[in-house]
Amino acid sequence: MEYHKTDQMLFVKLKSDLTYPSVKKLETLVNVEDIESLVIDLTEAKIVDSEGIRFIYTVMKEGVQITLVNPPYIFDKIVDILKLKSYMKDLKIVREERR
Amino acid sequence: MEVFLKLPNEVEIIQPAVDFVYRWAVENGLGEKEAEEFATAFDELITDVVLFAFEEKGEFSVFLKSSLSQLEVTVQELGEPFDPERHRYSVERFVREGNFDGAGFEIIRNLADDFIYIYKGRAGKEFRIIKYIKHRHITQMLPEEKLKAEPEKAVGYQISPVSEEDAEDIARLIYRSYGYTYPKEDMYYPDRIVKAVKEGRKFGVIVRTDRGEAVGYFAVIKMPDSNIGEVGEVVVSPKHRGKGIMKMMMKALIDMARSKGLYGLFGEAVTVHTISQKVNAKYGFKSTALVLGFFPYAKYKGFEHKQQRISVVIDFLPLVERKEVKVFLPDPYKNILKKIYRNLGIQAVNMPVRKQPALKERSKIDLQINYRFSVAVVVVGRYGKDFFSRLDKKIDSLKKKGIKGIYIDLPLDDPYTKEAAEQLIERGFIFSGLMPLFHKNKDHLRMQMLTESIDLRWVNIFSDMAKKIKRFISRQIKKRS
Repeated sequence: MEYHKTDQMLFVKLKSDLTYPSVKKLETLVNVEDIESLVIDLTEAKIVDSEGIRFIYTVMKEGVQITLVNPPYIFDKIVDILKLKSYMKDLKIVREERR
Repeated sequence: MEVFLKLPNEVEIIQPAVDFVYRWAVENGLGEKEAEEFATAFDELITDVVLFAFEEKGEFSVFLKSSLSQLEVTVQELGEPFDPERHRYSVERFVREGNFDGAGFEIIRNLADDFIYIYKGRAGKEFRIIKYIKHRHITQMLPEEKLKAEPEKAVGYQISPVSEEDAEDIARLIYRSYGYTYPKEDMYYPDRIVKAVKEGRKFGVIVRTDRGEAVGYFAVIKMPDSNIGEVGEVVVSPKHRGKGIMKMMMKALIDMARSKGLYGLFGEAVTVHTISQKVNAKYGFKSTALVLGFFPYAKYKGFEHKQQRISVVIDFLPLVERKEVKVFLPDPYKNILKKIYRNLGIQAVNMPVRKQPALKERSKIDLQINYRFSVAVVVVGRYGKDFFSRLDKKIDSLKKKGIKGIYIDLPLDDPYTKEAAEQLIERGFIFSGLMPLFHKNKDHLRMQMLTESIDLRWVNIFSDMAKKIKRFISRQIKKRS
């Protein structure tokens, strides 16, 4: 995982999936850093699981603006399965060309 | 390809394990999106196992199994009791209380084509995730008029071994001859035929007219755990029947099976009609079992039959000579089993059990589930002290899952089979027959339990031996009721 902070924005580039192991690291980062927005680049992630979704929802609820870059196909599907679409309207998604 | 992994319950293992399962799924035929779904379901499951199954350090097992049409991952662990049915996800509860309980299993249920949970008592828990491989059906590849075009009568025919290039012609031939009613669905998918031939799972012959049109196909599917094969796929184009094509193919196939060193061939002949049973009998196959309700109901064109699950007769052709076998025959079945052996040309010596054998702690039980057909075969490799407690839990889980037919294969070279069979009778199992050399090249007694009743008047039988087996089963059913 690579990350850097500019002003109140934390930018994280994941080298793995957004699942329990990476969520634990992200939680530590978010708890330590004082941030207003979080950008997670998921270009290299192939899956996002319930732990990833729980993390995103919880951090958003705490008032942090989240932007996901290139979430994998499964992301939307999991949000649908968990019926969270209407609760995640403030989530920003940027889609660039995936590798 | 089957893979077995033993993994520690450590968070660091989750990512590499998921990576491996994803790659394995892609290599075994899933598209990238389906592989992501399969890997995500697996991730949810093992994350749960790693985090919650054990109080301290522990290990869990992962089995990966692929067939022509589906991938299956089984996770087994000896952790604390847990029932996913009791952990149902609720979005309202999550939003209101932050309680995310059951979310992982909700995802697994939605991403998997099938998800089964089996609580095995002291032997732990087992979870199975199944994903079907999406292949193109022959009707998606060719227009109807091309599919239905029947080759005209021919002057001569050529027979040759099946190769990967024949796959599309075989699928067309099946569709042209059977419409959608052929029970082996894989035969409508050329990619699955290619895969099976390439991996050596089957071998067979194809017959073409002198103009090169395919009009006959017959194949043997090799058993994964024994050196025998099933004469499982056969078709002759309607206009070319009665020309000796079937005979030509069966002879070639038996020769091929001998040259490949197979110990025997068997057929699962449906009992909606007796045509396949007659063909088997003509080529020396002997009936050894009647398996009730093995296939779901399907309408057979031109035959009047009851709307009930389809039963099959097991016909066996030995390719190696066995004059005598020493076996442990359960008392209630010893006479019928001896008759079946005799009909195969084998003298069965029923060994006495003077002292009950000391059982090991753990049994070896393999569970083969066919979700599409709603049947499960339990194969006993070794009896252990935990045998019945594990079996009862498996049966319970299978019934809850809606499995209609449960069959159990008991090794006849194990003295405990005598005792086991009697206890299975008490649990509601009835006789099915002999499965010669069916697992690990050993003879097995098959017993069966159905959750739906079968009207035996509509089970059509040809051979004298199969008739005897049917009468025997009928008496057992009457006795039970």
